[in-house]
Amino acid sequence: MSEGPITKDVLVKTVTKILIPPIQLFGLYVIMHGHISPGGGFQGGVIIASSFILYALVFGYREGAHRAKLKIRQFLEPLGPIIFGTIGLICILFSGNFLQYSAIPILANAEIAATAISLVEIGIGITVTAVIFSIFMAMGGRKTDG
Amino acid sequence: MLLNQNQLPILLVLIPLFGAYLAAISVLFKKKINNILSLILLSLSFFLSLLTANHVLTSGDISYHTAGLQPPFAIEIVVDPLSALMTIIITSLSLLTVIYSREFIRKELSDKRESYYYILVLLLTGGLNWFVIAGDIFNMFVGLEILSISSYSLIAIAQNKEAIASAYQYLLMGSIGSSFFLLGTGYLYIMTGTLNFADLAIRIAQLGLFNSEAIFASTAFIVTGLSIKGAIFPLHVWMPDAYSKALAPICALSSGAIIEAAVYALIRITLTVYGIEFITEIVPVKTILLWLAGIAIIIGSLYAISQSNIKRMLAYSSVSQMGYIVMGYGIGTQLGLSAGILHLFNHSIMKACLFFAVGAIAYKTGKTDLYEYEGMGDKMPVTMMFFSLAAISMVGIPPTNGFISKFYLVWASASSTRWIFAAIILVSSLLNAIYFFRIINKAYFGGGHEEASRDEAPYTMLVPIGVLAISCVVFGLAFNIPLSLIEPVAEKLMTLSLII
Amino acid sequence: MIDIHYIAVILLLSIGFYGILFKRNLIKTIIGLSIIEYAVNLFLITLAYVDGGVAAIYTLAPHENMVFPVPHALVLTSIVIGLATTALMLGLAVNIYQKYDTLDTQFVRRLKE
Repeated sequence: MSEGPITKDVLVKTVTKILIPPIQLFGLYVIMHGHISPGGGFQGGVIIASSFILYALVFGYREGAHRAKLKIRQFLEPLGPIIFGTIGLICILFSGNFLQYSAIPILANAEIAATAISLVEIGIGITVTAVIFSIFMAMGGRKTDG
Repeated sequence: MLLNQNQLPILLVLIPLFGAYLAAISVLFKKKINNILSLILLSLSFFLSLLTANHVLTSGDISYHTAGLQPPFAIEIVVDPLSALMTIIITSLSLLTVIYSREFIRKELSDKRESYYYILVLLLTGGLNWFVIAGDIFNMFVGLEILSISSYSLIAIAQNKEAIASAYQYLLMGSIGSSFFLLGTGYLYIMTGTLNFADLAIRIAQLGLFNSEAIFASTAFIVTGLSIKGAIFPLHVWMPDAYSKALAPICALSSGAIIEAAVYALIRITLTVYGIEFITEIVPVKTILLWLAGIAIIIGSLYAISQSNIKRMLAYSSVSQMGYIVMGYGIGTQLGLSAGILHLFNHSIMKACLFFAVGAIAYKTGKTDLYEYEGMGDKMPVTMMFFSLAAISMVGIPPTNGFISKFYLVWASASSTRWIFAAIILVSSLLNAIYFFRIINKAYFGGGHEEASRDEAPYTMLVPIGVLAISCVVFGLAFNIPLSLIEPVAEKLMTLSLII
Repeated sequence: MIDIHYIAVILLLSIGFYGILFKRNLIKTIIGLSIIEYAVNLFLITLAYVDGGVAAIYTLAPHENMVFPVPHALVLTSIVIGLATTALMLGLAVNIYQKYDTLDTQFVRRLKE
């Protein structure tokens, strides 16, 4: 991919700018409803990542790399599994089994436990967003060896 | 103590996997921390795997359910003595690999790749542990994919162009294997409505599915898929290319743990899910694998003799050694199964030691070819001594562990009056002797004494090689230690008869 | 009644294997592999299908007539795994192109010494 913007077309740029917020909102919706209806961290994460990819395609590789810096992405990539593992380990510390929410006193209520599941989904969503966008950037911009 | 003993199995999986992501974050804040971090985490998992084995031997199998649900709904983890043995092999080898890699990787890879390397090793260990202790077939598949993807990347991480091409080839074959495994899982699920190993066995028997074509198909797909991963004879073609170009510690880990784990899974699935009668009489998986193993042993050894690149030679030797393991399984008696699994344990020690030693020699001198080993006995005496010890063990000379497991295999094939396989083992020992003694001869008596000055590998590399070489002898004398973990399971697997 | 889904699975599998075995371009082999993965996914989804069944979602489904939920979970996981595999393969293909200046397997496969 070329370094600069691949299009100078005002129309494409404007439509992209208008489209990106609804795409991300939809992605968040899919993530947040993952524990009760179709959706989840992976699907929502991919949707949000696609908005970033759209941005990088229209405004160019460098602009995309500037908006979501490599350092930040590298920090976010392992975050989801760490959240997941930490919640699981907390359950073990409260002498339950792995991911046994009922072992944690606050989460004994099923409604609140569902929130904890959402937390895991959000973590996965963050990871998937970062990973998919990183894969795209690594393939697109070989010069930076991402 | 913070930890309940019952939490041990999940920690075996969780510590390396969680640690991999922890390493990925911590490397952003402090460079070069990954070596220490992975060393600590893997020592911890090694310690835990020993604890698990102790717990399993003293108070019986552990069945662990996540999320506090009961088995068809929860993910079940089952640890019996055999899977405890597998986790010991896996964690000890990856611990030794990390110790060994400290100097080796610093020379071979750039800083950035070095940090990725340790993350991938942790992921691989977590995937392997998950793979061997999973209690249902789908989690086994997930573990298989985690370990496969990290091993493809680890083979490609060596930045020469052949490594990338061979990793590509490995990935292509491995992914087909995984797809087959998943297809087989689909067949099993739709026929029985469960994925849990114990449930599968019961339901196949209860529903009388032993004559159903879908179950035949699932057997074929799962066995083929795992044979690709385990480099069982006609499907081994990815292995020599991958091993001759990959980094030496990765070859050791892969040859010592990955293909072993796949063969272990083959044994476990065929014997627990389908049962011994099914794979002997209805679908003759065992007989087919037995004859393939016989061919593999001879062909692998012959190919090994014809190689001059030592890592390639060791890879072909692995093909023939996998043949021994599968042969023990294919003989189909309890003694044969114990012998095969004992050889699995011994092979991972010997082959890892050989790959480590070859890597150390390449690290110091850059020599990878058989004909360049002249005078190596004077140049790197300690490394070469350990290499010879492991090589002697591979040939099967007492009092090494290679002798014990080959003796058991010969005994098993003789006691079931399959004389031809006893003969094959003896012939192949001779072939092994040809290609290993050729190297030893070259190194010690091949000339080149005058130019040789002592230049030994660093201690971080010598220690893993030494530990493995000495265990070759230790487990040659104390072979009842692994057998005490193998025999109860072998007995259970062979007597498990569910055909009503 | 001939079930058309299974024929589709077989066709997709054959197309995938054709791509892997007979195509010389690396990208085409990757496409072949992806087709095999999706054939397996389609197979699992077809197995889960119940005539007239509704999606097995807690909020929507009347309890009596649901499709099997477990294969759907398997397919979700397998799609994620397929993503990782495909990304890794494409990454390797990019690397191969940089090192060998070609994507033709005939020139890449010169590994034997």
